[in-house]
Amino acid sequence: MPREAGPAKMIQAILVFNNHGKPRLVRFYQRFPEEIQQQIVRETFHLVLKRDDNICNFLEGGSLIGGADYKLIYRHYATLYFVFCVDSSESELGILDLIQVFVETLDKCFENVCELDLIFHMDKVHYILQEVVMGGMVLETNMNEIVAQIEAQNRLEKSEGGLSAAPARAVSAVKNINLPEIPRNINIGDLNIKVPNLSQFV
Amino acid sequence: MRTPSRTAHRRARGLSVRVCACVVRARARGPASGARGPESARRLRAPGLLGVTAAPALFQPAAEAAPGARRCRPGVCVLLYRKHQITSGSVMLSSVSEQALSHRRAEKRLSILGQQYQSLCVHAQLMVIPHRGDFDLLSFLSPAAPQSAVLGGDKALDGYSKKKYVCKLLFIFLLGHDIDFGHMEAVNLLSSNRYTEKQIGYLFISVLVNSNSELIRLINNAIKNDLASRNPTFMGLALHCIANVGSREMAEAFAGEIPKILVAGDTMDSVKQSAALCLLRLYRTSPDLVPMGDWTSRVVHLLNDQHLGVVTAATSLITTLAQKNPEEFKTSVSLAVSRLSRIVTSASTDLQDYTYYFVPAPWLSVKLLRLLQCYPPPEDPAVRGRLTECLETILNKAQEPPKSKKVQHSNAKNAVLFEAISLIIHHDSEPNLLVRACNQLGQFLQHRETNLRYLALESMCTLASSEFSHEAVKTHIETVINALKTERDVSVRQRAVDLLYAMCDRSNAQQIVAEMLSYLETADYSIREEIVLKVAILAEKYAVDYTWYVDTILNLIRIAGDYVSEEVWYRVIQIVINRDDVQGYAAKTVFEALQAPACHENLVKVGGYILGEFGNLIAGDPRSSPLIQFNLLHSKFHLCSVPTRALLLSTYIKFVNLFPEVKATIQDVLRSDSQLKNADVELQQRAVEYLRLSTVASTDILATVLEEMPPFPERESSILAKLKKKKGPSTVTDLEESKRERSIDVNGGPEPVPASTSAASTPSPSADLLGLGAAPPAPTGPPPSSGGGLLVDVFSDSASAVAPLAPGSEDNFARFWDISSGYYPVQGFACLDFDVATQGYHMMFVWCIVEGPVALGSAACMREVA
Repeated sequence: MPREAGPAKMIQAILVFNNHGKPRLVRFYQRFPEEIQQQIVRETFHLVLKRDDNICNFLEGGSLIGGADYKLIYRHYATLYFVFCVDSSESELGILDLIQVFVETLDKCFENVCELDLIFHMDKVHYILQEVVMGGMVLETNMNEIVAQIEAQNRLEKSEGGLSAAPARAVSAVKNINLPEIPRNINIGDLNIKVPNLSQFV
Repeated sequence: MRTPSRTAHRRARGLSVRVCACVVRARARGPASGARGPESARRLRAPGLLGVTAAPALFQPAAEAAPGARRCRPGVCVLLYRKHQITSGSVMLSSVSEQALSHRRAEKRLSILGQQYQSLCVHAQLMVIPHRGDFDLLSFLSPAAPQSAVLGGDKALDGYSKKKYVCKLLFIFLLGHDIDFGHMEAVNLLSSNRYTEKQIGYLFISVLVNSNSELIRLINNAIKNDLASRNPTFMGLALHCIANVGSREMAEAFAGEIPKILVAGDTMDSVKQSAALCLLRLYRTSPDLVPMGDWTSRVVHLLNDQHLGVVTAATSLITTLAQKNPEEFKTSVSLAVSRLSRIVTSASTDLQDYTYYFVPAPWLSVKLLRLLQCYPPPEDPAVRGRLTECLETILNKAQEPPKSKKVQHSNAKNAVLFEAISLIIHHDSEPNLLVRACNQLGQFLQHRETNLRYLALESMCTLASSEFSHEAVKTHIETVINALKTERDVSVRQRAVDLLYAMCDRSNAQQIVAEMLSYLETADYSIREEIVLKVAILAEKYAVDYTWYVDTILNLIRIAGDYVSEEVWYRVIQIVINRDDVQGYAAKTVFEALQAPACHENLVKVGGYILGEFGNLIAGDPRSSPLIQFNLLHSKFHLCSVPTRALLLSTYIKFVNLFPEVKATIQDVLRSDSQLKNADVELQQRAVEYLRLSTVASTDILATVLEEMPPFPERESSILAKLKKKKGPSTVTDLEESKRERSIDVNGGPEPVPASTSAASTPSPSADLLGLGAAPPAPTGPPPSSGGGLLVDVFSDSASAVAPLAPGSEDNFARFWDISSGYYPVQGFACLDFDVATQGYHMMFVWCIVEGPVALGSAACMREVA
């Protein structure tokens, strides 16, 4: 009864390149040799480039990945093209939303994301993408959840920053002490003096 | 290729890919270091490279920069080149003044540097790797400081630098350069205890590492440790890596492990999520390695999980598993329905974070609807009712005014809607829902959003094959035709063609075919061939009046001759030959069509063949007398390619039989030097053979040999086979099968096919055109019409003699004619056959030697097939 028993239903590749076709983020979930990867990027760029902005966001006919069964679903933001190459059995509009989620998350993490962010923080971008898409499958679509994960990573990174991060750590430790709160909790009118955060000072 | 030992070896010799850094430094040096070497005007062609045409004068050191010039972000520029391409010098360092450098200018300067490198190395590849304020890349990769070239092995590098260098390698890779080193170092990072080092190590592995046996073993080890660590972040990283690489080796190592993590009670949500997808990935790459066990039932219950992320991941997993093992996951249906109904009926604020632009959990809804498409409609009436209710709610919501003007809102809403419609179409059981879905799609057909029009056309294609909604789909024909004419986007037009094809039936075939034909004149080149095939199929399938069919195909050839493949014109000939009632009309029409001053070669082929067979039917008219017919065809002869000429020669010899009055003219043509001494062997041979045949054979023999082609055995249309091949089997077959049921009367009646023939023919996707490959096992009856039926006698008489002489030849001979008569010793029979490869008749003589030499005139001019 299954409708189609195709082997893999997934996102095959995620390509981000700028208006000049320079790759800014390339992620393949299926192994291709390096040259083929570059060829795919170039081919995709040429396919996408010649399309107007206000026609549909779906495109068939990339000859290198999988052939006719695959669709390119793309969005164009300012200087960047985000292209997802997916199996024809994925929901097209769903993928469009996913691109939007990805970009909005980038925007939240980098505060007004631009092309340079993708260059300078390539690792970060990869990590964010990993929280959205894992091995060609959609992991998480809830933006807050993704951002929370990334922030948790940032915290870990800071805590591991070693000596160079020591001053920052000191600052954040001081902030966490939360001084104004302590006097408030001491109820003078009562004999019981509560100092709930006492353990912090030990 | 990238074994660690080799990498190490390379490193010992100096890195095979040397990276020589041009460090942007505060201290400037003179131009001397840069101005070496002759200038080359050649452009560097590596990707990411600037073309270099500027003069070296640009390469001015710090002097040019004003003292107070803005200090820009320093950049580290890396020049990569391959060792074997170096002719002299090993390292070249240059400093570029800091002040001067905006990123762009640094690129420019370095490109000039790169140009100078051209004198040193053939292929210098220049890249600029920007990085904030770090200057020690040089110490990292310069052969001058080999001791620090080791990423992980050298304790002098701190964790930050290691991460940084791996990151740079990733960037170099992104720009399209091979990274031959650093793999080992990245693998070493995996065993670090620091999260960030581990993280980037895993990133490098999943982006860059191929299935390389030795490294994979090390990587697997690291992953194993992390999975066992019970540290959720580390487990998450390891699971990501497995899913991203997804190789068979990994499946072997971990397929047993991951289900345990997935269903363990104490696993954190985020890990569960990753584990579900990881398992899914492994199941896709190597389904045989994932053991089914009691975990499957517990996975189904993940559909009830609190955390929607987990539910989404689990739904993806179950959908794939259920396709292969529907029975095992049957319980998921009711769970999915109840989950779906909770989502659909919830207010948009209930689901908090999973509400996307006022749509509650769109992605999960889509996944659940997908899952339900693996199963037939639920049998339990309660579940079924609930599902119907959900679907109705979704359809209702589409009618409500949008809660937001944003395109994201409508996208998310419609993603769910389209998936719901697919489910309705899949179930194909609720006429009410089907019609509603169709109406909804009809609205989308005129939506201003191109994406929606595209998707509506696509969904309607599948809807058209349902018997309940076929009529409803047909009401949109005008809109679709309009889309075909006015859409600006070729993707959408393509979908419109597909839909027209799908909605076509006997009642609207003429209109649709006409529209497609007129669209064909302006269609994009990329989809013309497909349209031609579709028109040809529709015309044939729904032809009531075969004159219309002939007209359509001739129009097709006229409009898009170049895109008419062989199969199409073969097919028209098959049909004309099989149908007596259309033969005269076909002859008349091709005759008229051929009178156009410029006609496509395919038309000449069809014309040649049909006039050769049925020219006599129109010869009574003085305007198309035999001589005029011949002259008309022959006027095209010189413009045609060899295969067409060959076909025309066969037509001429057929004319000799049909019209004895033009025999002399034709013999003259055949006798001319351009035929008899033609450089092409095929043409020459045909000319010689036909000339000879026409001179030596009696009219009786000619009549027998050049007999009209008998009807072709009915078999699967070769055009359909071709379209299937083009579109992938699944899409067309479904459509065809469902169509066939509905239109069984369309084709069934008038075909003059004897039941035995059709039973003998075995339709296969690669069925060749005329059934030569799989010919009937033996002639089943006397050849049609005249010819005396002597063949059978001869065949049976001398069967013992034939068999050893022509082993296997019956495979190739579809039809046999007897050419013996009282005039000649009965010693041979000929097979006049149609050869697919050369598109012409072949005279093939099989001599069955009873006694003495055999003759039909001169055997020398006949091809012997023994």
